[in-house]
Amino acid sequence: MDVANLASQLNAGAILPEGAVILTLMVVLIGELALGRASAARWTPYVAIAGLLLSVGLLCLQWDLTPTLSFLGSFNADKLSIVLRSIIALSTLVTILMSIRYVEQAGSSIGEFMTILLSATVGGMFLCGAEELTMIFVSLETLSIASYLLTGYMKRDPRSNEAALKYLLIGAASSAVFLYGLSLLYGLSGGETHLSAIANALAQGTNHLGLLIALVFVIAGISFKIAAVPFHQWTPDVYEGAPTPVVAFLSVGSKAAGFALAIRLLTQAFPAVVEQWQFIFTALAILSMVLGNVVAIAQTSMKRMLAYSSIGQAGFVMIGFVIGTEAGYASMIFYLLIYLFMNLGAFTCIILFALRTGTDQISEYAGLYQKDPLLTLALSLCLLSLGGIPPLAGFFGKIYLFWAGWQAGAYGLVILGLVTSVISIYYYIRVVKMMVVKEPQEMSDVVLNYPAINWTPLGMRPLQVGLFVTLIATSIAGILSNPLFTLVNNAVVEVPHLQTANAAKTPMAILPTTTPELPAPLVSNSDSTAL
Amino acid sequence: MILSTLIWFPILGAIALALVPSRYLKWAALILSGSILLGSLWIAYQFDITQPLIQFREDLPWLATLGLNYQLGVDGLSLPLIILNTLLTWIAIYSSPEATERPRLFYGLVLLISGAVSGAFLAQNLLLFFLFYEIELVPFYLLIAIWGSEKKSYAAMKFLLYTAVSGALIFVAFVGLVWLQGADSFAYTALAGNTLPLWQQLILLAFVLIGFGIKIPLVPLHTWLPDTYVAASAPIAMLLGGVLAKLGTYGIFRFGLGLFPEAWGTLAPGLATWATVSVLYGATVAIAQKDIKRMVAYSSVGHMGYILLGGAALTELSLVGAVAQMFAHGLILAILFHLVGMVEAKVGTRELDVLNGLMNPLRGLPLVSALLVLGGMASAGIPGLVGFVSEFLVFQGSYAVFPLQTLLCVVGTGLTAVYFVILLNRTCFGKLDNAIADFPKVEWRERVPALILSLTILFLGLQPTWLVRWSEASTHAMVAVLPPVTQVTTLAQVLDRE
Amino acid sequence: MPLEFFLLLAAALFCIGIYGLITSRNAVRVLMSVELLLNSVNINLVAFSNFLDRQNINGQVFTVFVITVAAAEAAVGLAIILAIYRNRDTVDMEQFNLLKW
Repeated sequence: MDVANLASQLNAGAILPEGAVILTLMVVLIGELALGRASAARWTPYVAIAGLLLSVGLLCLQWDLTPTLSFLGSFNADKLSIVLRSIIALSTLVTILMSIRYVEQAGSSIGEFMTILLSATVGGMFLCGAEELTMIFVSLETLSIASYLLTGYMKRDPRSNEAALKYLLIGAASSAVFLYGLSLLYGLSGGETHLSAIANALAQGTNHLGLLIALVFVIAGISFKIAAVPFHQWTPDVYEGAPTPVVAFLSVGSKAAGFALAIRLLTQAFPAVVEQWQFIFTALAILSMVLGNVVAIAQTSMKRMLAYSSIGQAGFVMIGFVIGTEAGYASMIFYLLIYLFMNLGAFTCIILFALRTGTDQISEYAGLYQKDPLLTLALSLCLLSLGGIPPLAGFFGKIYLFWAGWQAGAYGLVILGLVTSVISIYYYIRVVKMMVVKEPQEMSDVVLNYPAINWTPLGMRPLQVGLFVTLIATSIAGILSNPLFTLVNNAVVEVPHLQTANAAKTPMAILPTTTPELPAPLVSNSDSTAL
Repeated sequence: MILSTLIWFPILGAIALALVPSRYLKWAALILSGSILLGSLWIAYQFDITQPLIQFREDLPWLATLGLNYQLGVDGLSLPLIILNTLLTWIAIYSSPEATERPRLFYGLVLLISGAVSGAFLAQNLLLFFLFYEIELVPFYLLIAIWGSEKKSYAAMKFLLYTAVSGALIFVAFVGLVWLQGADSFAYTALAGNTLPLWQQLILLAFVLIGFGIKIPLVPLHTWLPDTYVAASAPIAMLLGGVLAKLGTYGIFRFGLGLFPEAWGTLAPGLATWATVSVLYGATVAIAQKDIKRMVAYSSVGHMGYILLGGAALTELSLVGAVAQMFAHGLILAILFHLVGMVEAKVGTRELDVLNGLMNPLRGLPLVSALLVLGGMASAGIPGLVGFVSEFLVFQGSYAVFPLQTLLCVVGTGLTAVYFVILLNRTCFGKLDNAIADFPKVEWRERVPALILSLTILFLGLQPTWLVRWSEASTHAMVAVLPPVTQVTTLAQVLDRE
Repeated sequence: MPLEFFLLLAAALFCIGIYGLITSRNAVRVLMSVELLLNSVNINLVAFSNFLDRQNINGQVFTVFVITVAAAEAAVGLAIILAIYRNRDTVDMEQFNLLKW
């Protein structure tokens, strides 16, 4: 095999969107060195935004191409990966819009921030298409290490330091555990590293105990990334200590990457134990929905509240994952897309408030309606959308999820989802109440001294753009969700292994009929996932 | 397109209010709500009363994956409620005080609610109904929490959580029905003639009953009601009791009786008993109240029971009566809340022990108390007023099927008379204490809403055909498809049959 | 030597790493425990590669990547510990209590 032949087999065109991001990253890094830090703040964010837009554009162009494996089967550029990569690129895009002013005001270097953020994006995007163990590990670590750096970016702030250290130690430990699971997978499959080959090799083997141990280790690693209870302990601390734009990225981009990893790895490499992993994820979903939404009630800090709320939201997304039907995967990805806009919208508002007042205590929002109606409206709509109030996007996202869950027979999960949604309305509306309902005389001190609204300082315009984009998307994405959902559905339908994951399921079962024995037959009629 | 106008005109108007100069806000809101009132009257004029089916159909594809399509229509069951909604919206806006704080938000939210409630009444798709049902949640929360009186924050949160739970239950029932039926859409017509086994129907109906039972509310799901009605300001209490509670009864009729007729027939004796308990409980608790607004609030619990009784009996007459009672109760509750609000605004208290002699022609509030007497009489079912017509129809229709429950409900009407006599006796009659009788003057324009409402009450009481003609065809069709209800059907027998 | 010996060694190393992770008070020691975890994975991979996959030696390639990434992780970890030491003058885990743990 000569070099030219090899190069043509690599099929490198599939990673053009990532290439655009990497190129942007290099331009930002070198440009900042060459032109100096002082001027970097004025151009680096816009270059990064242009690069990400280019990347999203390239992803759109790839939509109609026949999906091919590239890099000798390491990277799969199918429609599913295109949708997920777009979600990650978009989340970075909105994160950049909200971070410029924040980083500028904190007095840190913007160019470096952009560089690290873009590396995290590259890692996340590669993760969405990775089909080989080494590739999965390297892209996961690219995302993770960049996230640790971002968390500790405010290096004079001891809280940011502490959050970064905690995130790094727990994150490194969890990725080591994940890696241990991968190494077992490698051994069990007799030396295969491609996911499809692993699945084939495992289908012949009978060593289910070993496979289950590998599964548990792998799920521990994934659950850390998506912050599912009980692997969530890092979330509130990191969210509270990290710079707010980073929190926004972690809660959306990083989480989407985690779900992309879960979809690919679990459905493709573990079809033999599909009931077991769906069962584990059912438990994780229940715990996440309950704990995330209940603990969020008690929070006094806005960032911490959103941290717990994002745990609960991840629980909702997991409903779509565990039921294992096409509609389930489609509604899950659709919810991620909707969640991107509403959650980033909420974070944009929090950043704006923090920039003007320097605090993110919920009680300090009292009476904001009088001083800043636009911010109040935007934050209220985003929070109500997160709570699932119609006609906002979150309502439709939840309806898709619950309807898919119900059709798959997961009544218990859906009813629990409804109950926890009602709970979540309580704490979201508490913030709305704080802003809208409070009388002028009950206004908090910082709102009383609220500065005049001024969009001219450096980085305020992008923030405004981000605010409007997320606000509009949150308001109408649900009502106009038909084309979006069709798009996502097409992406899911074309992925063959998502159907095989569902082959063993019987739709009518309401409760687990039998406990699967070990070693379980490959195709069994028992159904332990649907509660 | 006229039905869509009823929904979208107020909703878009609510947004457009953001641009209206503050001086003209109330005028703009009045014009908007007045035009939808005229629109709904025009629909009534065009409405074919001999036709039992859905009229003015609108059907646009929307989210096909979910089976959620934009399907609207009106029939004899929803038409009176639509008119009630638009009428009370106009009156609520008209009667809101000039000095309302944050008027832009207030009128916007009221209009938003009006559109959403119209949408819920018109929706011919279960999911669309649910969507509109949930939309009014937050506006009402804000209306109570911002413009309410003491304990408003607590009351508003209680209202929000109860309603959210009710929404969740209804959603479960709807999704369960569509899934069990194997339908690919939430369209009402596709689901109406479902062929589910009785036990599945019973489970789904239970969810529907509890879900809407919270909204109506029926005892023992009513605990949010006194707090909320008392905390809300008069125009909002009018909308809450007059319109929002009707969403519950409408839902029970449309989605309980309409979708699960067989299960409804099975449960009918239980429902009638439940209704009776509600009636008696509401009436006795109202007697014990010291606060006139709270008394009126509890009277609502009792009166909603009659509607359920009429539905449970399932005779043609009782159903017509129940629909009439929805309309009548909306009018009566609105006028009572309005007048109680007026008394509170002028006298400064709602305590029965303090109020006295308001009938005093010189220094009292003679017209307000006269109309209060009229409202009380209408509520107690005195002949010649609208309350009598509807209650009489309900009782007449139900007696043959459920004699005992009907008799107890008649006793409930008697108790209604008791507490209204207490209320009227203490507030309107007696000697006015000159020391406190320094009330602000009631101006003519403040009297307009009460006069309109009382004239309607009087007119429909004297000319009941105008009240019942709209719904006769529809309720007739409803009864025609139903199995006859007999006292002997019990749950045990149903389970035997299975 | 059979494959099991290597796997047992790796498992033992993994357990030691977890133990160190949980009990250490010094942040640098915690970081070292993480390295132990990664090294146990490396033993696993190399052993599997040697016994099962002599043709492609995927596991050994994987190991090289793991070592590289571990180095990057350690570098970032030490940088963060350095930053925290400058601010707080300590690397004792018990002292990091600004955030609710």
